[in-house]
Amino acid sequence: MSFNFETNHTADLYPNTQEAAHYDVFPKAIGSILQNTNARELHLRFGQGWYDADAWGKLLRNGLENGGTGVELWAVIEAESKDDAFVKWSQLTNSLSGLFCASLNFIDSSTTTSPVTIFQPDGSFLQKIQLKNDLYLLRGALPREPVCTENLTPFLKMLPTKGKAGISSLLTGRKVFNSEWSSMAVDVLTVCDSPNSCHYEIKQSLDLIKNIPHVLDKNRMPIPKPIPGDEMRCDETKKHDAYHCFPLPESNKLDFGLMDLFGRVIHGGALLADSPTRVCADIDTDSWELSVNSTAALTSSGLCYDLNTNQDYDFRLSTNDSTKIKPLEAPPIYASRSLSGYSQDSGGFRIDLLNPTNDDLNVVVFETFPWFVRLYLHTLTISVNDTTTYDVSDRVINSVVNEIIYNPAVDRKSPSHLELMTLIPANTKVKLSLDFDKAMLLYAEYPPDANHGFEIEPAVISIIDPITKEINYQMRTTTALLTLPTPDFSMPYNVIIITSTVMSLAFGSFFNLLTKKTVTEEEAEAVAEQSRLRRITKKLQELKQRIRGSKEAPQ
Amino acid sequence: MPSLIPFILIISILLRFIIPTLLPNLSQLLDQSPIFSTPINSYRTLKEAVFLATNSLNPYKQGEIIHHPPILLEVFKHLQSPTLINLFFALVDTLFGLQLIKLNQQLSKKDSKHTYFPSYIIAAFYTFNPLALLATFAKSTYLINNLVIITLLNSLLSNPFSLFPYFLLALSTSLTYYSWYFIVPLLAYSSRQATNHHLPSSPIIVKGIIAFLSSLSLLTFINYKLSASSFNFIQLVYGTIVSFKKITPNLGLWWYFFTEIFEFFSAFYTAIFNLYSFIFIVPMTMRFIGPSTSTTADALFAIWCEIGFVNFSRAYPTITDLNLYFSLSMLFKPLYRKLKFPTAVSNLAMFTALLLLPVFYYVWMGFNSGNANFFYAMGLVHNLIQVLMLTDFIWSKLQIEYYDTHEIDIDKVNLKLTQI
Repeated sequence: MSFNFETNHTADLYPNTQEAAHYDVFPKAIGSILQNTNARELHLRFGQGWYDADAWGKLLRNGLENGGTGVELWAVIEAESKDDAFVKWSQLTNSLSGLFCASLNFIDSSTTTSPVTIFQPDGSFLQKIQLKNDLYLLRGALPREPVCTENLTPFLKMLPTKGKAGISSLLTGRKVFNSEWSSMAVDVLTVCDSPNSCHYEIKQSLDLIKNIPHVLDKNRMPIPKPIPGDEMRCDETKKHDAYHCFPLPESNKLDFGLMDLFGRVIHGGALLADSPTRVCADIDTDSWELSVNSTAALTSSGLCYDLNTNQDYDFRLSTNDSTKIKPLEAPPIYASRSLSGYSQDSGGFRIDLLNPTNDDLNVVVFETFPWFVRLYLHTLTISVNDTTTYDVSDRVINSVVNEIIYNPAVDRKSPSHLELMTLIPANTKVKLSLDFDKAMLLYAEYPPDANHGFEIEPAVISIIDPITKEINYQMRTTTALLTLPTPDFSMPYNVIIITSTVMSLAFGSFFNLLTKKTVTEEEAEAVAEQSRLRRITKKLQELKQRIRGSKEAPQ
Repeated sequence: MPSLIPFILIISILLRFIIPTLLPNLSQLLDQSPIFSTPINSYRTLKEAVFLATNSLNPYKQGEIIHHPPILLEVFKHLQSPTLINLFFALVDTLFGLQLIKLNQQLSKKDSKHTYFPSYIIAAFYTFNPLALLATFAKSTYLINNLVIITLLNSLLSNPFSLFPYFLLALSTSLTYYSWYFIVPLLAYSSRQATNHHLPSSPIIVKGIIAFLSSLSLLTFINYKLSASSFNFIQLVYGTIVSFKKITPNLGLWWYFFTEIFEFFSAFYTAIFNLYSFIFIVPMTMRFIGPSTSTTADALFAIWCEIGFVNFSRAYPTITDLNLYFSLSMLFKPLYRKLKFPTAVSNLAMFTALLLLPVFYYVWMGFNSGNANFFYAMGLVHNLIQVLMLTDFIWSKLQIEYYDTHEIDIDKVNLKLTQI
């Protein structure tokens, strides 16, 4: 299921501060953030779940509007210098963090990269206008961010209908986020018709994968219970009585409405829009039946309905053979990434790419790793069809890897950023593997649940057109959960005390050995006789004896 | 049996060359272990840097990958084939053994009062010393530093007024940072020898300092040029050691302390720990090289004690540093007779700790059934044994000094000595 919304806004690139900005359908919140941070393009992705390409086929719109698990943000910022761009970027992440109730403010220099081959700005507006400054592309991702209702609400609030009317009225957190996979995207682009007239164009989209029989089952029986005996469908060709039943496979009969899927109906058309809200069904009319449940009159043309009143509309689909659906389009590439190694101090990444098509594909593998993953690029090996393995220093590798863009990490400051430009031959499986060491963090740098591990953001796999360099298809792998070695969190005082003890012990023994004089024990005894303490104790002893002597004397 | 020595040395080269050639994975395996490699000297970061440098990425300008000096990177850029590298390390370590034999010969020639080990024992000891063998197999770059230091000692002992030791000291400093500490005993020894030869001591000291500083600046300049005219390498190579930026488990005292310490105190304790590693340099020099009666053997002993103490208190100690200290301990045979713990006992204790360290590390990292405390505790034991050994040697030295100054025959009279 996919929901797509588009709105435009006219504004000057360099606004005159005297003039009040005027917003109509374009969300003011986003508009003012973009103006303040000089962002010319903004792309925000929220994703949840694992996209099963084998079962669900190709991603919608070639995956260009889908994100990986967590939150991803990239923006093109116009600034005087790189540092200036970074300041603007921090402003942007902080503002968006408040707007979308996401931890985007945690995107700092240690998670920000500047991609080189993908995520590139759509430079078409540059041809029409001369910019005052340079453009900088910055990207960051938070793979550990859980996406939920609090992110959906601001997403809906940005729509002109605020999610109260039109198809957006179907979207509620409860039903959106219990789907198998979901992805939300916000894309803002600058479009210039002439040097004086530029406008922002916002595209919002929300894609869901729902297992309809599963949803219907859950509606009927929120707590799974065994099917009551009288509802059980038994295979009558086999033995069946009150105690025996060989259940038949699920029936192909389906009957569901929007109410069943979303818990809501469409609250009228979006009457703000230039053209009325139109609902179309792309079904095989031989086996599927569409019905509309509404009190309002409908203008329909074939299988399309215009919703031009503010009445409620519910659409129902029913069939006797639910196998008659549109065939899935196979994705042009399959990719997965996994962690290898068992040790807590080192490990490896392995990326499997499969090109099922009959054409050679130019694929860019984009990855960023946090600084505590110390990559060893010289360990990169590539195996083709599990038969030949190349080492990165071999010259032959050029047949698979055309170019490597690598920015090594700086501790606590920047992540490592890797872009591999590969050529995957037709019907070929390619395996890339790379080793790394894990750094130890300081006591305070571990999150509260340190042994849970750290999420590594998904690898972005893009198929590039070799001539135009445009992205034809884009997909993301899952996140990887990396466990780091941990210190004992209950030990700080013990460690400080014990280490200091050993150090002072060593200090004391060396100090004594070096400063004291070596003598025989007899000499030492003689000297000790002369010491003040000895003299005092001696006198005390003499005194004691004298007292005792005087006591004894009278007797 | 002097004819044995070349034979033993040939065995030494073969052993150090053939085993890693036959078992190419051995070096990688040992390099993974924290007792052989730290982020500062690990061979795989060097390999990574060589790879990046040959693929037009300057590792001294981008990222924090390499902490080896640029000179070393340049050397390894030209040593690409594994056979050459194996041969290089085998030669470096065998040269070290050769220098050790020479040092022992010099010492026994200069100090006729005491008896030293015959050369072939030293040669055999070094050839089959497991620490040296494993360090060579792990391709620890500190082996080069060890060779530089022992060559320095040799040249210092043969001619105390030569400036060559100061150049070697600068080289060693540029390789590992800590070596500049030893300028103190070097200067003290030169000036002591000058006084003994009735020469003015101040020009020798000034010359020494100038020689050290000028060769250090020359090496820094070469490093600067090799890292494509950038001073970034100073922060990467030396700054990382001084500020202890890369925290991974190692043999030393620092890592767990700085992992656990509250961030607020971190800077303060970094200063304290650095100061601590230097604190005994001057006292030890004064105690053993200062007195007018002090001999060449005393000077060597002072430097050896300082090496031992720096090993104990440095930020990133490895077995390779320990190897230098252990090998030099063979030179002090006269002290063995007054040791509280016989060398067999202390060595056994040391090796037990060294065997348990990787075991506990693996229990923590691999099996996940132990935690960091196991490894830390073993590291502490290892350090304590090191301190005990060193204090034992110093006390033995002080006792023998007493016998010598009072001209008492150590073989006939057995005095009970103490300190006040």
